[in-house]
Amino acid sequence: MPFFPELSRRPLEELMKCFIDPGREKEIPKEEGELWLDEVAVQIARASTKGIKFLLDHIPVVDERRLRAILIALPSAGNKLSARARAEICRQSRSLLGHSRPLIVAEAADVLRHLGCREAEEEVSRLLHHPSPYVVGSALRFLARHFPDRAGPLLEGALDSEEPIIRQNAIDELDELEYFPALPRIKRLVNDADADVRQAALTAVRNLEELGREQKASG
Amino acid sequence: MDRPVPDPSRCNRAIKILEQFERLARKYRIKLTRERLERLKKLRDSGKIKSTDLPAKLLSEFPAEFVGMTLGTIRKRCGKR
Repeated sequence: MPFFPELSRRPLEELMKCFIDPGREKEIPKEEGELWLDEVAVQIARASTKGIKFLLDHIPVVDERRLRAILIALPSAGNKLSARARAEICRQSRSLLGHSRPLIVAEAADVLRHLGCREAEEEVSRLLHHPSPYVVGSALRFLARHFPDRAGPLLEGALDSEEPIIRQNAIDELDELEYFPALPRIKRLVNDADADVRQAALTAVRNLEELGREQKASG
Repeated sequence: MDRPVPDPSRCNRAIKILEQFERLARKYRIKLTRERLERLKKLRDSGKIKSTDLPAKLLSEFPAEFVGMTLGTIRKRCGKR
């Protein structure tokens, strides 16, 4: 069942009102406010090109929570995006890579990854030196998806990061890239001090070893 | 006609998101209430969880070809236990 099933029945105009009117958030428990805004934005993005235009027009004027919701929602428009809309989203997302709030920067880099905005390689690469581990994680994800040859060694180096979030991101991406050279180093992280890193490492080791066995069996 | 075998890497990603949503929510800084987490864990443990049960951010990371399928169905289709 969707997180907020009642939203899928609402017409676009109503969803737009929900998104910009702070009073409407009172409909849901305070601790769920951010998730609710995300879902409203996703419904708007999926509804029509009018919804996508609405979200893009609101990027410069909304607060941080709504801005993050817009960035989470835009890739969900998927096939509804015209080449022009996609180019505009890439442009706006690139301009947000210098935003003061780390979660907005991380989300903007994720939008660039989802929409395949490879032209942002240089700016996103600079984020590898960002003070927020969440931003570094999103930069690693972008590079892993669109520049896998370059990303392998970078991700392997990130396994030694002091930040658990960065180690966790690096493991997940190496797992997806099926990057066997990193397997011995990932194995060491199975005993990491951070529980989330341990879970990511155990999964990656299992997946990579299984894949290795399958490849060996098929000659 | 036989169904095409799904890509193993995409199988692993789909299963990872459905099994490890709690860790991944922390990775993406999504706040889930205790009630939501308990409900999702019950669905996961029964194999009935679907991508559409997850918050928008996690759904955006989910491989499109498995959207709407339960964890049990995905495991079966991907040849996993």
